[in-house]
Amino acid sequence: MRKKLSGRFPEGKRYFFSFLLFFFNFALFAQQQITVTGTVTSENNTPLASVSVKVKGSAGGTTTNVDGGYTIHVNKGSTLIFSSVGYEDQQLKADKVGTVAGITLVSKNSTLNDVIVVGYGTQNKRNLTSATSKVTAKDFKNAIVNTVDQALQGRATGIQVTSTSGEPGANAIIRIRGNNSLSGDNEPLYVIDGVIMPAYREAASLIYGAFAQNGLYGINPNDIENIEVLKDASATAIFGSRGANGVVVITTKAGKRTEGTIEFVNRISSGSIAHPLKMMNGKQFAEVYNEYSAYGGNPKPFGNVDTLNTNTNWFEKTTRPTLREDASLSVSGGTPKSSYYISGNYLKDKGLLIGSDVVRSSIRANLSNVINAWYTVTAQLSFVHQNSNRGISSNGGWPNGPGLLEALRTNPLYHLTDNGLKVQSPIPGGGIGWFGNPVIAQTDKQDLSKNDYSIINIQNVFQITPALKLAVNLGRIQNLTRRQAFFPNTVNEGFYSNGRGDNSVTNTYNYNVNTYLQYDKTINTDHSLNFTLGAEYIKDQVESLTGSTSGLYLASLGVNNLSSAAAQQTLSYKEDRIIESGFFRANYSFKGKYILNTSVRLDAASPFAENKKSGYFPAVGVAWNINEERFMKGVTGISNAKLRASYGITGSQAIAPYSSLARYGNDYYQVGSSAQIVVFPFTLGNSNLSWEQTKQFNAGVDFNAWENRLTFSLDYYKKRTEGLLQPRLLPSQSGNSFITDNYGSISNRGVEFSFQADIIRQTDVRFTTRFNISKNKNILVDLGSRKSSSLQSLSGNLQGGTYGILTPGEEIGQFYGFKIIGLTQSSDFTGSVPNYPFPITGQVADQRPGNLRYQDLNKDGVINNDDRTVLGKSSPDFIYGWTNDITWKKLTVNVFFTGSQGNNVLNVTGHYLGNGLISNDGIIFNQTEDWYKNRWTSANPTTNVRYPGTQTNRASTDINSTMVEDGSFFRLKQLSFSYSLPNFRAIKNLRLFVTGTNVFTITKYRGFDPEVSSFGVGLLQQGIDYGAYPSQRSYTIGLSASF
Amino acid sequence: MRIKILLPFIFVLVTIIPSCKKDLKEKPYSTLSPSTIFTSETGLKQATLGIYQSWTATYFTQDHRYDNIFDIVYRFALSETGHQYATAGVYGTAFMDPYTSFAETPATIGGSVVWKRLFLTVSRANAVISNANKAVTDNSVADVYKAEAQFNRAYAYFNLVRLFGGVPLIKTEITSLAQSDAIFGPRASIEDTYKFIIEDLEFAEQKLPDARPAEDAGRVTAGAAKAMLGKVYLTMAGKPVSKPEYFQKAVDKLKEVTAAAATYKFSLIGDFKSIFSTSNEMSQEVVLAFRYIWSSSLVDANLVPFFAGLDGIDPSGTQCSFGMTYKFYQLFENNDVRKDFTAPTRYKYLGTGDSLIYDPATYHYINQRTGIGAFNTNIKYGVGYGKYSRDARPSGGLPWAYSDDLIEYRYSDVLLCLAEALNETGVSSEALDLINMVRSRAGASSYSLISQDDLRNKIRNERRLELIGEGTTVFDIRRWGTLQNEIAAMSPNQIINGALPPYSAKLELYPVPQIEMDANPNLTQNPGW
Repeated sequence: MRKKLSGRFPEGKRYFFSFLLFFFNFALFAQQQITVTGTVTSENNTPLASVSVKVKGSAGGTTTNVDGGYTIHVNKGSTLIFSSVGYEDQQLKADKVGTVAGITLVSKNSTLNDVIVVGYGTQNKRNLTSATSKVTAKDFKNAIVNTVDQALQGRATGIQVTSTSGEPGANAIIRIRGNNSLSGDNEPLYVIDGVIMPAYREAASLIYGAFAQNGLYGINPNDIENIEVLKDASATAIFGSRGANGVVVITTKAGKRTEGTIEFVNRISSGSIAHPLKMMNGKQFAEVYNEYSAYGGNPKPFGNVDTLNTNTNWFEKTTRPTLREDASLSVSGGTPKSSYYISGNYLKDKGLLIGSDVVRSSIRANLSNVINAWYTVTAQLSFVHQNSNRGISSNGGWPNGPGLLEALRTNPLYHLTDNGLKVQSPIPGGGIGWFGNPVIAQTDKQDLSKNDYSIINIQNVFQITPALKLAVNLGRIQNLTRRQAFFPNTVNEGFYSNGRGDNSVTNTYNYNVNTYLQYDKTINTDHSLNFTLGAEYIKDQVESLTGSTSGLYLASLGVNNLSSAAAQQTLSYKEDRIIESGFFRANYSFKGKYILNTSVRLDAASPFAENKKSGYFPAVGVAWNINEERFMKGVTGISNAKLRASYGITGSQAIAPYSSLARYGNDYYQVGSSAQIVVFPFTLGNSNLSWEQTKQFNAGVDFNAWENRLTFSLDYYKKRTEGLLQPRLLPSQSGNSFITDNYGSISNRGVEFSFQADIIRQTDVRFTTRFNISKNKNILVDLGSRKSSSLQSLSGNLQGGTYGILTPGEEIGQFYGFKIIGLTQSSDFTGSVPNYPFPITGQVADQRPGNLRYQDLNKDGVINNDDRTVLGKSSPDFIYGWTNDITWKKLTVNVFFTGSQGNNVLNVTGHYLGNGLISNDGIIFNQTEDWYKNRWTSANPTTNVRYPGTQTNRASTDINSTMVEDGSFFRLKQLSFSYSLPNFRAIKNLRLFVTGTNVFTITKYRGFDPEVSSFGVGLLQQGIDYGAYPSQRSYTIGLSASF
Repeated sequence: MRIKILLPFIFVLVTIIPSCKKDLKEKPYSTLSPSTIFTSETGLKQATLGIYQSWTATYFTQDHRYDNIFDIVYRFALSETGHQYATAGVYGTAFMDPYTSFAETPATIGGSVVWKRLFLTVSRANAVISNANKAVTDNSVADVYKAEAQFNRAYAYFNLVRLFGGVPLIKTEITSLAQSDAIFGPRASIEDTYKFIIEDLEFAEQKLPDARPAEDAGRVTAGAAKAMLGKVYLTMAGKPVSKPEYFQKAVDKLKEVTAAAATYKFSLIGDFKSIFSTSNEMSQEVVLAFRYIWSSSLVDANLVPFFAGLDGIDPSGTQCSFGMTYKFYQLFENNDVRKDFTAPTRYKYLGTGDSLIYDPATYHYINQRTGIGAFNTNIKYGVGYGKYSRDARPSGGLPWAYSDDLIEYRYSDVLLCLAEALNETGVSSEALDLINMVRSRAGASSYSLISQDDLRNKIRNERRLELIGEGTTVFDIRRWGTLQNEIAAMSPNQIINGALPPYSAKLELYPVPQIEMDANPNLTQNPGW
């Protein structure tokens, strides 16, 4: 913790002389000596360190320790004065022995004197030279926040939070100031109570891999006091080779050193899909199927369509209203020497798709104790247990798409009970075959993720001298994860192998030790110095074991008895990652006007090549508090005006351990009559492998006026990341196709603006509005030896084609494909021969009116890959959030809007459901009713590319412009009303609230939700909607009370 | 002041700093490194067997991820399609196209996966060759393993040179990106590539054992090396090396094999069909085969070498991606056991019990019960390929957990190679005996003494009857220089989409894969591509 000494300001001098006088007066009397102990906290109950505690009229005194505690020996009846920069002084009459109640200091100016938790210590916001954003518990108190990422969305500048899925427990993508790495990691570093969180690893199933989660997993949002987002190099360079993607610093709640409080919060929400898609019913399906058959020259299989009475609404049968119950109970309090915060949380979240839910229970205990005048110890213990049943196990491998897409496109003429191998096709003349029932697929399978996540964190602070402090922190984070996936032969995944099951365990162990010395001194009241010197050791260890089986004979026992399986396979691995670091930071402030911050970190990390393991990460920042200048003295109203600038170098080291080493793999080969173990080289060594390096410049201005009723911040930044860690193409003659190497560079530049105004600030009525907007442009500067563009394609069922392109000099995340310029009409044909160019992958026989008409971009008379072009981009031009808090007496209304502008979404879901492709390779697909009503027919020769005619064959395997949609949106994310009831006996702060989430969204996007990323966090796969689990519109009622 | 409480700080610093260097040095727990493998003969043997594994499709996973399998499918496509008797598959079309219609380009995936896989074999072989003497001190022991590796390396290069022409010659192990001379090395000439192949095979024939005990069945022998060397000579006698004096070298080398066939445990086994049976693998007929595991205990197991089994002809119901023309079926004499076995024009579909009969008029198998064409009726297909095993899999076993070995070289091929070399060197009577041995084993009539030219045609014809689908057809056509005739004899009905191109000299070699050209600026493209 940073320490401030009193006497820095003129009024301090005055007191000093007064103290001297008093001292001499009172020294003449022999007074009774007493010992007083206690704690000093700020208004929001965080302990205040380095508060000067002096005896009125005496030179003696002490300062509070890191936890705000102090002990002082004084004459009985003397007056203690508590003072700290930025706070109003407080006085206390010392007239009884022992502890006294806690002292609360009220800040002179709440925003300016925010304490910012930076790396390895805190800093007063006044002395910051860096760009940071802060979100406090108050900001999301009324919001429905299941995970920490939801608390961050739209509430801070420079941070983009995108839900990948609306599934309970799903990961969100968090990006601070854009993406720095093409194929490495873009995840920010998460620091919780001073401990760097390890990368989250979850047990994987051999069938579908692991589900992505970010490092915020396992933190109960109710336990969070505040979140700092450190964005520029001046703030993040202290994290060295892990700071490049920005740092999210989370501080959990601590107990007040006062009497105990019991707090209880209970919320219940229910929701449903905001924009359901309506599919064709049985009759409509049959009608279109007849049309399809007629085009193929076959007789119409359905005679009288109107007599059909089968119409299974598969989507309705696989979905349900969501139900979420969330209850938290916390007990906190303390004595002058100790404090405690103990909380428990239970969350049960039943998702939209049947078979998907999350149950989480967590416990946290934050305990702190002042051992003596110079030693304070704090322990933070957190345990989270979470069981998640995954609704969408598949991300689209063969043969099926994600569960939701299957539910939408399954033929409505099948019966709800149909399933299995020998099902008669509902199409007359159709054969007997395999039919996978989407409802049974959801109910019969099991795909359970179980996690036990624990954090143990011990912080020791030794106050060696008033100016010198030593901190020793010990952390251990352990994540025990299991994945239990079982697919009986009644579902697709298990059908081919007569059932299959995976039971796997992945455990992550993290050890974290850091220690630092911090020295604070003010010389001659003008020169304020602060030095921090420390070292850190982090070890991450992963151990994994997977049992994968198939051909299960005791299917009823599922994964609980895999030994009955015909085929069994075991996989295991273990890996270590070690980082050792030293760091130094020096801050200097002259008269509070001119501020210089410098820092450097030395990191040595095991995953890099032998002679490339260590490096330095320096940063420098300057700031000018204009308001402290003499010429501003006459200017009233402005309480803060600051210019900031910083430059520094940070790194990213997201590669797997052992990547620089030549390694051998193993497998089996049959020799004689038995399988034998064989070994072979599988990676080359790379003795140059090092981290990605990001250089960042930041300039900003902070401005507060009219008693902070108006504040704003504006930042500009420019980043360039070089030596990107990515696979480098090798000639196969090397024995390898790729090697992990450093090459290529990316730049990000952007502007961030945040604004807050207390429009009405009265006792009964308050109205505060906060707005933030961030713009970031992410450019691929060069691809190293790969000079030309690089096409991106996804495996799985995404048409099997190319969807994206990377071109040096252009933005990252561009969709690439064919332009569709209309639908073909009868007039485009001479007989059955088309007189327009069509894709060479199609066949002449398939061309007919109602087809998509491709643009022959290079006008060479054929449609081939050379006719593709950039169709859109997944990155937004800007993102914004707008919060309004209105309080009228006991009623508070919170209105929170968020949005994104200028990004596209690749709507693969919509393409599958509205492309008119009703049968492909014998698989029958239902289509939307919207398509049905507007589709091209000879009677309705529409030219709208959204509504092609019934297809008999896939027109092209590549992405086209009908799939690229405007993904901009403006959303009323939350609308919350809360009402405070009068105290009732022991019950205080009784509050009732009602919240609507995703109340409305204004967007042109035609799918469920424009905020989507079906393929997770990878930079090159953003903005793709492939059977994504939609987010819901939900309503919550809740109650909170304290005792 | 309270200096003693600095102690924990000092303690932490003291414990962290000295441990630095040592701690940060990585020792992988779950993967091996050259320094741990090549310390004993056991490790050397495991690395040597690892070379063989590179010839097989590793896994076919349960959710149908089968990336690896294309390497094998395309090696088949590149060596067996693009001639007058090949068609696209019976069930699917994707795998054999565009090679059936000569529509490949440098960017076509097949060429690049095959190039890559063959160099994977080279790389694994080089690891053994470079490290054998570290693993065992006795040179005579090390030499046997090196010989085994060199055989594999030679066979990889023999495939590469016939597919693509001269290729970069990688002679030692590459372990680091620093070895840029080898990693980015240029192509050698065709002659130098053959020279390298011959050196390896000559070393192998000297150092390898004559035969292997049953528990080592599948590992190469001196007999296999000699037989391979003979085939290399025969190939060099033809195009593009075109050195007729190599016919005599082929005769001499192959006679070393036939003269000591008993020593090398080679023979024509009596029952042609049983060669391909899973219950009769590594019989005396087999000179070289890459082996597939026959095991019920694998979850993600290796697959039938390619999608070559005819759909529904065996209980596993595989897909047939390779077809032959009806004309090819008619080439066989009716008594020839190879006829309906190789090209089954009628069979019982095991899934439904229906009889499927090939109809040459519509180019489809017709379901006798329903009268409807089986499989995708939009596309004209050929007769399915039937050599792969129809043995029932063990009950309860997964369809993909059992697989035939991939037979690369059979003793009947050795005899036909020798017959061809003898005929070209003017010793037609000996050649006639050899071809008749192969024919009579199959139940076909014997030929009597005919002119050298007639016999040449008969031998060439016999190679196709005997060896179709076994990875030699395209190479034979190229060395004979008959591709132009093949294309002339083709009909648009045996390919899917588009037209047949006219013959062009560039078609005698496949293009160097574009991805390799991109990765290595020192590579040059074959003429015409």
